[in-house]
Amino acid sequence: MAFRFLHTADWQIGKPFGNVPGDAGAELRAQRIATIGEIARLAATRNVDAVLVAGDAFDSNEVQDRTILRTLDALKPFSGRWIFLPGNHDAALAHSVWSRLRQMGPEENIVIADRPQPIEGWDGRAVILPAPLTRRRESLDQTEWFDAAATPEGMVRIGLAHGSVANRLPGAAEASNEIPEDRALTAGLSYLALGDWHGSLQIAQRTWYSGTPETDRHRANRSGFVHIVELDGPDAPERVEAVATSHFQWHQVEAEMLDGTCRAGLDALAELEAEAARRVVTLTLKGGVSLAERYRLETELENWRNRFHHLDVDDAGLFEEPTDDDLDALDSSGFVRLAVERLKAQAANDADPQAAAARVALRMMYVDHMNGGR
Amino acid sequence: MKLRRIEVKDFRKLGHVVVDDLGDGLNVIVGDNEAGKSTLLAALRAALFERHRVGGTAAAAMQPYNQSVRPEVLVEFERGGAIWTLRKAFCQRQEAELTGNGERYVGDAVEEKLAEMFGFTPSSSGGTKPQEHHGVFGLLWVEQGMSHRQLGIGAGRNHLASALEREIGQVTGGERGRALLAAAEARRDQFWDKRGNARGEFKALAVQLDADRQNLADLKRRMAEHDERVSKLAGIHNILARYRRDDTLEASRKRAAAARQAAASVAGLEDALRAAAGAVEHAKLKLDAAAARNAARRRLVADLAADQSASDAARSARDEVLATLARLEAVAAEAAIRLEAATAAERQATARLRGMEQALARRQAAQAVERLTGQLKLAEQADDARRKALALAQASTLTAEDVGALEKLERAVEQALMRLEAASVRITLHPQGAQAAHLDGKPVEAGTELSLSRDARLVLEGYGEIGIHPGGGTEELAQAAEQSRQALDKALRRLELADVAAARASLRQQEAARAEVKTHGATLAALAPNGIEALRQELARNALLAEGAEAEACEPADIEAARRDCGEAAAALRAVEAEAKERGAAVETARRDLAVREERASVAEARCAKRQEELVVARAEADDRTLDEDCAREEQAFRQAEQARAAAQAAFAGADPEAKQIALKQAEQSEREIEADINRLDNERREIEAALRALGRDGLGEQLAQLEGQIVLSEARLKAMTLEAEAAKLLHATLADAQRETKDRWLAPVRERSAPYLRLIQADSDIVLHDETFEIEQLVRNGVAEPFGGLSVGAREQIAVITRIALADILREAGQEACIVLDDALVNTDEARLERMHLVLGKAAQNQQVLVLTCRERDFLQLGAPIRRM
Repeated sequence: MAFRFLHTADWQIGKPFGNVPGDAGAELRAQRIATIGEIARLAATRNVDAVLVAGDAFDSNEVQDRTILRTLDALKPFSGRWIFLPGNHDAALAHSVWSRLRQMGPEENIVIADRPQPIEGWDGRAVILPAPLTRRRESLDQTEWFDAAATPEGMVRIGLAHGSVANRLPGAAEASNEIPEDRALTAGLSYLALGDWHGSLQIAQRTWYSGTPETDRHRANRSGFVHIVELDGPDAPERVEAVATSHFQWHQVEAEMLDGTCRAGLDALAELEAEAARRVVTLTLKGGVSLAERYRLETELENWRNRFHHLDVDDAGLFEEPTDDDLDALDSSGFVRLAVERLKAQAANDADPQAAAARVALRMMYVDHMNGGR
Repeated sequence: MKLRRIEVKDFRKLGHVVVDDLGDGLNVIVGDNEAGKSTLLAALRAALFERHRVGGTAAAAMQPYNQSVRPEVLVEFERGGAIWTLRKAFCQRQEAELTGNGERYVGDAVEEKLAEMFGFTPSSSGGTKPQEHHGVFGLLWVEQGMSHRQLGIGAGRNHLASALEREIGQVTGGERGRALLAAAEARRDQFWDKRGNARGEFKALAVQLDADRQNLADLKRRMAEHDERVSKLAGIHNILARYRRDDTLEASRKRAAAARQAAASVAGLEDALRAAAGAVEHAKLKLDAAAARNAARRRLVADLAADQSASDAARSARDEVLATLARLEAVAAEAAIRLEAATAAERQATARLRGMEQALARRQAAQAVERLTGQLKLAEQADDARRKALALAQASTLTAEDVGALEKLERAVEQALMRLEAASVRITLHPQGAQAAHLDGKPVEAGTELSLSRDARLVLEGYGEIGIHPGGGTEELAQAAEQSRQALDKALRRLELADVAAARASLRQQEAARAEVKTHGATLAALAPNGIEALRQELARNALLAEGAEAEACEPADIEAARRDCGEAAAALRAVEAEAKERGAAVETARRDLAVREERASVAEARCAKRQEELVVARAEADDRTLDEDCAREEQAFRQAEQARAAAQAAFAGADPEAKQIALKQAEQSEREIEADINRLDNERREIEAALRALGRDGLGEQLAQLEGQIVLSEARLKAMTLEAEAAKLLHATLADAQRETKDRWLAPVRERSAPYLRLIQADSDIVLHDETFEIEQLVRNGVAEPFGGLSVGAREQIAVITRIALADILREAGQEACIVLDDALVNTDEARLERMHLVLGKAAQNQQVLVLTCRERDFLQLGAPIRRM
């Protein structure tokens, strides 16, 4: 009988999203637990043998008690075994989220794999070999013991580890917690379930990252999935199904406005209109626009701010370029004209320390003008 | 425009007035109050600005009071070198006609032409208002009583503005510019307070960020503490695990048990050593006892020998003393005999001396009795005589003073008698015969001088009686004499004396007796210096001494010899006595010595006997040899015990007890320490776990990450807001600067034009106009700005007139020449200033037609302008 399990990782529960203010941030925090509930229901529906959480279930060892308890509650829809591997964020230190969780008296189906010991069961169909992190950064390979771990003949061997696979991950900066790329082969694993990389990715033969089930940052790395894995036998190829679970969609949009209008930026946002309330958007604007366009852009952005779950606009690269029309609109004569000319000159002079302020001042004047000087 | 001629008919109070020949420069039109100067100005305004068909109140105002006539105004003026004539008739048969420059306009065309010529706004209906409808004339034609007010530029503003624009080429930002400036100011004030410090949300954000950063530092510190605890906990876990793995506690317990066993065997050896030492001590005690007994016996034998020799010595010493005593007693007896003889000899010599001395004393006493008897007799006589004389002296109490007093009285009697006698009638009777004569019955002897001092009756026999009456106070004299006598008699009686002579005799007798008492007293004192009684007793004592047998006669020389003999005998006796005493004492000493010696001898004997007895008893118990043998045996036993002890000591030392003890101590301590360490670590583990559990509830990690995100966000917001704040500041500053500069340039012509006039009345001053309304805002004097409204009324009208002139200059230069009309415009100006203002007007009139309407002709005589009276 095939062994079917759900592979997930990097829940990062308790991640605060401090840079997303107000209710939007609070909802992002709450959603991470809500998504775990979804995973539990998925596991129950698909009738998997176990759920393997490959590290970083918690954002830190110092999350609040209520965060732990609510997470435990979210696990309830699935009554099979949950195998939790301590990762670098929630390493099995002398005192950790796991030691705290144990003291809370969790259900029996919650297994904390904080020792390098085989986990057996499932009528001898499979054995899980965990490589827990007992400190945040391990300089030694914790999966080494997999190779020598003896298991009965014909049993599916599944590795469970957290870290970066040597030489494989794009831009993986952390040299610690390294896992050899051929561990699955040397240890005769049918599947090596990994955590740490937040996107769903097969990194080596029989070696997979499931990524985080709920996207938590802007990064084009296919995050927001869990893997449902089926293994028919020790040597049978793994069947991996990536199931989308993320509630929120994160987007990083860049728009350069070359025609003096803000059309490019607004068009980019318009593409995200569908399910806007589930989108977390960062918009980076570049280029130059007239004061009139800048005014229009602000009005439109305000609109989008209300529609998206969260919109963060970086307009540091956006410059106002007052046109003659702008200036005529302000005033064609008199001291206002004089002031505009001066501000414009200041704004155009990069050597002037007040250049940035002058640009904003021009925009302000334009806004005041459009508001009828009120 | 220059006015040349004005003619008014039936306009308000003016019936018909003509003012003509108005010149280019200054023109003064004088009229008393109520003469209609202001009406003239009103008529001028009506002609130029009111529609000729105007009705209503405006028309009614042109009518004379309570009349309905046809007011008519005719104005000739020069404009652009051409002469124009304007005529308007109001109210009835309204008419309007304008001719000049070869043109002619009639009716409404006149109004249109005028509006075009002078650039004003004709009123659509009803009357006009100077400031709304009269264009620049609203500015330049000043009605009476209005000169000190604001300029009231009104519709003239556009003319002015265009005139200024012509020069500056720019206009102000207008209403919109001011609104932008106000908005910029409001925006700046959102961010900055008056002192340029951040305020409101801007400030709050910075404060919040600071607080967050501090909070973050605090959280980080707590986090570090937390991590430290966790790593400490890990360390404890490791140690405890090692203990468990190595079974350290059990191993140390086993080590301790082995050490205890080793220590126990050492303790057995130590006990044996202690027992051997005890045996040595016991043997030593026994040896000491035997030796002591042996020594005591030897001492007893020796003591007995000593006692015997002491007893012998005592006895021979007693015998020796006995012999000495016998010898001394013999010598003492011999001395006693010698003493007896010396005593007798001394007694005999003394008796003889005493007999001789008694005889001599008796003889001396008998001689004294004889002498003293005579002496006593003489003394007794003298005493007798003294007593008698004393009695005599004391018998009379008469004193020398008494006698003196008596003599004085006697002399007084004598003197009285003498005076009486001198005054008395002396009669000597010489009878022829023997006829007797009786005086006061007493016969008077013939030949006797009678001295009569008082009336007397002399009876002469044979004759009869003769009455005699002495005259001249004889009576008083006689009385005085009588009184003196009586006084004398009285004194004598008191002294119991017969007369004064007796008194004198008695006094003499008394003095003699006193001398005698003295003499006899001296005698007595010489004889019996101690008194008669003492003399008598001396006599009696000597009589007593002289009694007895007659003594043999002996001489003092004999006595002296006898006394020498007696002394010698006594000295001999004393020498013998001393010798006898010495001998006796020697005997006594020898006797006492003997007693002592005898006592000693007997004591020594007794002791010797007792010792002998003791020795006998002791020997009966154990003889001397037995004691010696005992002693040797015990010494042998002692040596053996010593050897046993040395053996035990060697055995104990060989077992290395110190090392065993140290090993035991270490093993036990190590067991204790390990157990305590395990307990302590376990406790510490529990404490740290409890503390970490408590910390866990707070979600330190979440808080920290949350706050870090928040700070990043706040920093970005603050950066953005700082830029906004700077921008708001910059915007406002730029707008305000631009406005100020523009305004300065804009109004510069007004300043320039007014400056020459201002200099005439007020050095170093400047007029500031509002850039939009052109109203006067401030007068700046010596750099100090004063609002126009704050100036005095006089100053206001002067400044206003000058400004109007300056503005008129500007307008004229812009091709809009217009005359200035001032209706009593300087009524509030004092004389000194008025003179200056005349200079101003004169200067203005150089380029400008100026009409001055005034009721004060005198004030304007000096102006040098043509004066017309109404």
